Amino acid sequence: MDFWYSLLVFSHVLLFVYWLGGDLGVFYGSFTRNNPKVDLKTRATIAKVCADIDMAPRTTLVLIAPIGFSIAAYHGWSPITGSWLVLLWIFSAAWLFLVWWQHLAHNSPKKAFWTRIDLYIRWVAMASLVLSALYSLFVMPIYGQSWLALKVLIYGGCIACGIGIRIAGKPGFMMFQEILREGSTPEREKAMNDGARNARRFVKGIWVLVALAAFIGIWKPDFTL
Amino acid sequence: MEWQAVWIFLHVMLLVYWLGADIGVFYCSFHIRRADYSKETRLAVLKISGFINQFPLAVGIFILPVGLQLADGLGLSPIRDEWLLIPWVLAVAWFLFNLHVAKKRGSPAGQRLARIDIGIRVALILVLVVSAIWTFVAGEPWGANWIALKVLIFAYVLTCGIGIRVTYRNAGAVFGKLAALPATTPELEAEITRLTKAVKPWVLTLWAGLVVMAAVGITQPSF
Repeated sequence: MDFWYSLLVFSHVLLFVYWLGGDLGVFYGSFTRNNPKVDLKTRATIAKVCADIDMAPRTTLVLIAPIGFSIAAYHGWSPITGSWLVLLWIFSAAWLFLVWWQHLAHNSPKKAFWTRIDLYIRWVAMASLVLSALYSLFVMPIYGQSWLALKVLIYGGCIACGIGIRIAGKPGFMMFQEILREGSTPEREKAMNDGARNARRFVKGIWVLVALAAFIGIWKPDFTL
Repeated sequence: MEWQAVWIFLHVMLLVYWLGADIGVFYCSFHIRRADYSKETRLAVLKISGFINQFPLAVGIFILPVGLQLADGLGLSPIRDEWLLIPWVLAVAWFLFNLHVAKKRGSPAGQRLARIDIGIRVALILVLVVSAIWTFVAGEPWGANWIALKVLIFAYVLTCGIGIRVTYRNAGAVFGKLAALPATTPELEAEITRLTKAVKPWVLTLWAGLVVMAAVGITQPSF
């Protein structure tokens, strides 16, 4: 097996490992973070621990695209090749930088602006992936294999769930900040937990989709629609 | 659909909940030893770490029968067809035994059971090492050298697991003391720091073993 190809496949598997595996700690930790019986200082620390561990799935979501498309290009199954593939790598590196900057720049005045930009990137990426996959499945096979188009569709679904977490979880997140600033009340705790519950639906959606994408990648079913 | 795809998928999923989940445990360990945190905070982080850590512990047991299924699918395993039921039954029994060990942790009976568990691991390591080396020498029982290499690395990973258990054997008592004392003491902090630092080389080299195993499984080198 070609060294660079092996490295890509190996990286692809490791990204999957840290995406799904890393999420476990974040998910479990969120229950402690949202528990009103736990003191606020502890909850603030748990929130930080969860946010830090969450950088593993956040990083993998970005990197899995250039690596996945590079593997597809190696097989001649991807419409993104040559300079376009190089551009995808540069774009992904920039996006990854943005993701990490948002995590590290806690109180920067520019954070709100760049968070909005990040959300726009996700909308565009999701739309591009979903539309190209549907086009490949139903109109013209721009991805060389149907199962690959399905994986691209599922990856678009993962990004959509990520957007869902940001939108559905925002009221809960804001409420958590309010609780840290102004203290816990049953109303604030309820509002925060409602938001967290809504966000968790999308988290579980990502888990199912990521596992499904992995299974399809291993199985490589041959089908036509 | 081929069953082999299902086994590969399960094999990768087990790696997810071993290597991937471990990152949470590892990161929590830095916060557990923060003396500037309140006791409640550190115990809360410890609880999260303990929960996540159950997954790698379970996975370490079931990855072997799943791996054997996979090897059988490739025609490279000495344990075939209905004989595969034996490693599955043993794995389930070992898993249940481990649950019992975890339940009894901290008691004299728990310590005795933990020693039996280590004995099981040592015996398994010996079987794996001998079978791998014999394959390199005589071409059997494993059907390919790369599988034998994976088996050898798995034995190494199990050894690291024993290293973690032995290094961390007093962790229950140490963190129990943290929970029981009204305030931490410099001696207790020194012990927590010593424990968390001492276990790290074992964890990091275990990860390296898993990563190399994954690389060997993906590339299936011929040598």
